[in-house]
Amino acid sequence: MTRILVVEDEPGIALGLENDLKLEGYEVEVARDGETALRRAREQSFDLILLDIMLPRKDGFAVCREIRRSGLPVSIIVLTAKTQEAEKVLGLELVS
Amino acid sequence: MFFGITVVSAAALGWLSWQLVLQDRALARQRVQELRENAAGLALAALQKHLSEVEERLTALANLPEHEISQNVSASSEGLPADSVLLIFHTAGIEAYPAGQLIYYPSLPRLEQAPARVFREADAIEFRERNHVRAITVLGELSRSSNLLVRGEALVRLGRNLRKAGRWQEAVSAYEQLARLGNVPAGGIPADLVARGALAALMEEHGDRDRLRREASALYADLDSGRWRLARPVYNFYADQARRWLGAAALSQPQPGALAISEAAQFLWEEWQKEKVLKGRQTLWAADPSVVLVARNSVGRAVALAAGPDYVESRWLADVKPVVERYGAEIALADSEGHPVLRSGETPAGQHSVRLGSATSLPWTLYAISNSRLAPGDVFTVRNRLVIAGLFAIALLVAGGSYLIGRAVARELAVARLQSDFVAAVSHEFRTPLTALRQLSELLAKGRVNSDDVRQQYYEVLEHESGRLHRLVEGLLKFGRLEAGAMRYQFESIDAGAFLRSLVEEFAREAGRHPRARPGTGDSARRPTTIFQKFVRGESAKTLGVQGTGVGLAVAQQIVRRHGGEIKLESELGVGSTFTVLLPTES
Repeated sequence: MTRILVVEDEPGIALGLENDLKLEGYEVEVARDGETALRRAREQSFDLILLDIMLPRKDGFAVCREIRRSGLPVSIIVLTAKTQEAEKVLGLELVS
Repeated sequence: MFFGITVVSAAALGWLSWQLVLQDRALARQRVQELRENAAGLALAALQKHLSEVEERLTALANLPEHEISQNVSASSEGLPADSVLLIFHTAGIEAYPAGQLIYYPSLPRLEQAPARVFREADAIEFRERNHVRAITVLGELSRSSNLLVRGEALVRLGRNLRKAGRWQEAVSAYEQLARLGNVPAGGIPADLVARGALAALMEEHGDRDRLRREASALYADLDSGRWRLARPVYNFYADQARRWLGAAALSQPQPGALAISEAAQFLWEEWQKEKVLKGRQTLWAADPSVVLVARNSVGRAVALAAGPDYVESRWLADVKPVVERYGAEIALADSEGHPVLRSGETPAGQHSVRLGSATSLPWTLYAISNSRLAPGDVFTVRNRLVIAGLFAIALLVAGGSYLIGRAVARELAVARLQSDFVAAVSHEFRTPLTALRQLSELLAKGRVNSDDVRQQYYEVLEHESGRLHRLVEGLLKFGRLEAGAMRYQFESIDAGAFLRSLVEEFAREAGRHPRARPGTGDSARRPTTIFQKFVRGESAKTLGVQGTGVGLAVAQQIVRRHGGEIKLESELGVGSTFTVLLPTES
């Protein structure tokens, strides 16, 4: 079973993502902020992390960096509502 | 950078103004120098002219026939200042005009004396026998002689013997008699001079201080006035005596001019004796002050003018003096040895023009000195001060202006930055609920819902998010109206109690929407005044992703103020914030 960690602080968006993915048959967990996400990622093994950039306190980029640094074998997809080019590029860079 | 430019410009202005001032000063100094040079030229021309005139006059006098010369020279000497004299040199002797100007003479005509044998007897009685009484008798007879020469010399001896005999009164009367002989020579010296000298000596011996002083003063005054034609040693003898009797403190030296020209006469006489011609132009420093000597020679004679500073100043420089003064200068003269003739002839400090004697054929070096009245010494004249003050004021204005501009620009930049932050925040505030709305409505439309619970949840979120969007839009529109000044207020008085109740209800409703209390961000504490400004959200707003556009407090403050009230904020870091709203009551 593919385990997905959704990191999103907006409840409305998190709800949609969680339910839809569950409908598809994935196991989904939701983390509301960066710290929780990192903790859960280390405690449990996830196959995929859907990471929102706009998070309170620790932002998505920091989370991404730390996950990569920790060497966890997990894929990350970055979600962002911001359309600025620089941030898109930065997002891609980090993930790769 | 802007400030840097202004500083540089101000500095440039300052330097420029200083240069102007310096240039001004240099020009002024130049002008003073020009005027001074002119003054020197004028004085020089005057001196040369007068000197030539004098030489012409002296030539004319020197060539007069023998019987006319003394008369004419005497006439020419009328009104000469006390420090000058005209001299005629003959093979036989010297004449000086005006009479009495010299205090002693280098050469005197041979004076007659009484034959020596006349007094042989009397002298023997006086000095060998020491019999004064008998001497007195003998001399008494001789003193009645019709021969004035004999009478004079007799009275001298008589007085002496009477003195030695202690017969004071008689001695006095003998000397008084002698004095009455006037200029008759007694032993080669004018009788009255001898008499008065002897009288004074008598007074000294007798202890009559008052009379002594009287006699000595009168004697000294007469010596000074050149009353007698004396040789230098005789003059010095009597002058020293007089000074001794009067006490040095009570006396001043004889008129310096008289001494100087008497020495000049001596000097010229010696030259005349040696060379038989006199040099045309020269100066003499034998006594202070320096004397200028101008002479012209003729067959067997010479005529000379010896002149001191008063003469030079009053006769030769008087006519150019006003012009020289107007040029702001003073003239000083010094002879070839550096002795001052006019003023202090030493090389003056400060600005001066020089005319050397070697170049001008004058017997002096001429200096023109700028007097301080016109000297440009002070850089800070009134005009220059005004210029400097004006430029300083301009520099100040420029600096002040640039500072204000800089501040305004900085403020504008800050506002622009805040506004762009606002735009970014607003965009995000719109996109977040919209994302949720679009996402969930798409899922619902596509039927990707597998339970009624989930569907219900979706509907609730849609309701919530659209409400959020609605509030956001309303808030922004209200803010827009406020900014445009288009907000219309309907002021109504309400009952304070009812108002408070409805306030609490509203507060409770809002609180219910956010059940969890979150720890504060500390922004209120850190920025208690700026937080009320529009667009200001607090530094942590971005990092924490706190919802909001930064206009809430600004709107609240505006509304409260329009109602005549005020919002106050008290905040303490780590403790909490208290917002106090004050509204006016109708009273």
